[in-house]
Order: sequence, then structure tokens, then C-alpha cells
Amino acid sequence: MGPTRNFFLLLWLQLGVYGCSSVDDTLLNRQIQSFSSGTVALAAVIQNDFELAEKANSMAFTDNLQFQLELGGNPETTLKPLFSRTDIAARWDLLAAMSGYVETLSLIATGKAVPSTFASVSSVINGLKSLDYRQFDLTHSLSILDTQALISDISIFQELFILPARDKKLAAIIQAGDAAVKKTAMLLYIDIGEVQDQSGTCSYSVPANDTDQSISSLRLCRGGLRAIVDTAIKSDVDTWKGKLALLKNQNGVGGTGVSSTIIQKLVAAQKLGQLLDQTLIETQAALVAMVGAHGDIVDTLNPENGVAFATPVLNSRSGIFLQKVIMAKAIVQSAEDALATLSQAPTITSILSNSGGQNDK
Amino acid sequence: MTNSYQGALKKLLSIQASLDAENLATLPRNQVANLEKSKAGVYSEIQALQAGQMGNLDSDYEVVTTEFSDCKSDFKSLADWVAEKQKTDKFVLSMLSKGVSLALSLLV
Repeated sequence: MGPTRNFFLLLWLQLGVYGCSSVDDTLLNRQIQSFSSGTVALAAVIQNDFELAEKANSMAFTDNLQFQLELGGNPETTLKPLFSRTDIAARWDLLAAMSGYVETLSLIATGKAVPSTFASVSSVINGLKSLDYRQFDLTHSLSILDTQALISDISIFQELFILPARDKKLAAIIQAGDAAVKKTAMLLYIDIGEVQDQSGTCSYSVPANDTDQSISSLRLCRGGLRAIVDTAIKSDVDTWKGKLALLKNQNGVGGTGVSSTIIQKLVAAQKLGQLLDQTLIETQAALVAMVGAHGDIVDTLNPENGVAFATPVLNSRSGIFLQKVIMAKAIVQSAEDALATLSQAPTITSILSNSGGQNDK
Repeated sequence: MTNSYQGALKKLLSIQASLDAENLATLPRNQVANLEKSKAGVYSEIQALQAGQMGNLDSDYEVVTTEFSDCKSDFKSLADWVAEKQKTDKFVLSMLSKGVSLALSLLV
């Protein structure tokens, strides 16, 4: 019996060296896969938020330019882009780096080999841009089938000898990653911004001790994408009001057909403003949830934090994150569609010709 | 920076509000055209100011980008370590199994 006893003794020693795993690796894998899917999708939503702001700015400029030309004015015709190449590059680089982080983390979680070279930043960004919101289904991250696949990916051998030691090393990297995730969320949250000053002592910057502060503690001044979109929509609404006022003042053009077309555009622009702002608010909510979802991974890797192991992903912060991202990507698609429709705004001349020539010429 | 930015923004928003308050119905067409040109100018200034303010965060973005890249590099090292560990542990286990098999065969 001596050799058999020795074998078990050696096995026990081996486990002792690596430390028996108290980490729930199945739960960890599920959380990592959810976080990874959600983060990549959210990165694409954020890119679209910036593009929506550019488009709203362009629409307001174009509608006003058209109005000025109709008035016989001599308008400035050059539309300057809102953001410089440097500004956009700084944000896209971060989104690409964050996507690289979650993809590598996901590979490690499933025990797959990490490629020695990764896709370039530009290809990651193009990949994000090409995501089709209607086809990109995040709900698969919650499916039982996927969970089963993840469970079967973990062999007994890995569970006994590799994972305990891996998880200890992973915990240290994730801790550093957690600070980066928090800062990222805070920066993007500030970028999306506010329509009104949130307090008399509002600010535009990340607090010095940013990792200790939650996003909800931020008191932002008016600024960011929400302010830009608000400015654009108000300007566009003002342009339509101007057209309406002018038509009302002209003999014979105040007919119901003409007025109702202008009024429809006026109302549609205001509704679009509400939708765009809601889109940006949803993105901010998803960013807050992203921090929580990453916190789930940190807690699972550090069971001494006292978090219950068997929290179902759907009810966890990871689940909430996915739900927020699903909401954000659905609403951003609606906003894109609404903006595209309203951008095809008719001119006064075309409105008049469509209404049977009720003009004052 | 914040104060000067806020001051400039408030001033521009106030100018914009006063321009928007003009009643176009009472103005001749050429004056409306001039007014709209002024509005467009103020609008462009407001947007440039708001977008420019966001540019102040660029350096913060660069710092966090580097932090993610460092993490990714650490993940790569960890993946290499796991691969190496799998190889050596499988070897140790196989040696142990052989030893146990030998010992059991001697016992039987």
C-alpha cells in the first residue's frame, strides 16, 4: 500500500503547492464571456454615438444653410467636423485596446491559445463599425447551451492543477484591468456628458482619485455629446420655426398643406432630439453597468470578498450589463433610422410645389 | 480652463437665445437672411467650443489605452505560462501514473 499512499500524498502535495481552487471557474467563465460580448458591442454603440452627434450637427447645418439660400442670403457653406482626427484617434484607440483586453481575457478563460499578434487597431475599429445591430444578438451570452460548452471546456486535469494557480495570477491582472475599466467608463461617461450643469461646482474632468469614486458621484457641467446633440437639435428646430414663421407671414402660402409639412418636420426634429438624448443616456447607463460586470469578475476571482458563488448571471451585475447593452444598441439603431429619415428634409420650394403651387411669387 | 470655457459657453448660449427670440415674421427677407447667418455663426462657435472641451480628455484616454495594452501583455504571459504548466504537469502526472502502475503490479 506504500506506493499508492505515496501517490495520493504526491497528489495532495501538488494541490497544496498550487493551492486548492476556491474560485468557481464555471461562473468565472460565464462572467468573462458575458463581459466580453457586452464590451465589444458597447464599443460599437459608442462609436455610433459619436457618429450620431456628427450627423445631427451636419443636419442642423444643412437645414439652416438651405434656409439661408432660400432667403437669398450669402451663407458660410463649409461644414467643419466636430472632432479632430486626434480626438477621434484617442477614443478609437482606447475602444480597440479595451476590445483587445476582453478578447484576450476571454481566450484565457476558455483555455484557448492567445495569438502572438493581434489585429491592428484600425481593423478592430472597422470590425466594430461593421457590426450589424439587427443581427448582433447578445442574448446568446446568457444561453444554457453556451454555459454547458464552457463547462465541458474545463477538464478535470485543468481544474486540479492549472486553474488554481492560473486564477491567482489572473486575479492580479484583473485587478489592474479593473482600474482601467473604471477609468474608461468614467472618461466615456464624461464624453457623453450632460445637457445642463449638474451643480454649481460641476466639472469636466476625471477626479484625481478616480478609481475610488463611482461614476454616479460625478457632477458634470453642460458638455459632451449630449450638449452637442442638444445644440444641434435646438438649432434645427429653430430653423423649422423660422420657415414656419416666414410662411405664415406670406400671403397665400399659409395653406394647411404647407404648414402641416413644416409642422411635421418641426415636431419630428423635437422627437428626434428626445430620442438621441435617450440613446446617449442609455449608453451612459451601460457604461455604469460595465464597471459592475467587471467587478463581478474581480469578486469571483477573490472569493474572500464574500460574494455568493452561485449568483445566476442573469440576476448578477454581468446580466444587468448585457441587458443595458442590448437596450443601448436597440435604441441607437432607432435613433440612426430616425435621423436618416429627418435628414432628407424638403426645401420650402419643394414643399410649395408639392402642395400645388401655393406660393407668393 | 473650466471657468473660462463655462464663461464663453454661457455667453454664446445667451447670444443664441437672444437671436432665436427675434420674430422673423416682422422682419424683411434680407434681414432674416442676415439673422440666420448670425445664428449659424454662433451655432458653429458653440459646437466648436463643446467639441474642443472634449479634446482636453485626450491625454487621459492615452494613459488608459496604455494600461489596457499592459494588461493584454500580462494576459499573453499568463497564457504562455499556462501552456508551459500544462506540458510539465502532464509529464509529471504521466511519470506518477507509471510509477503507481509499476508499484501496483509489484504488489499484485
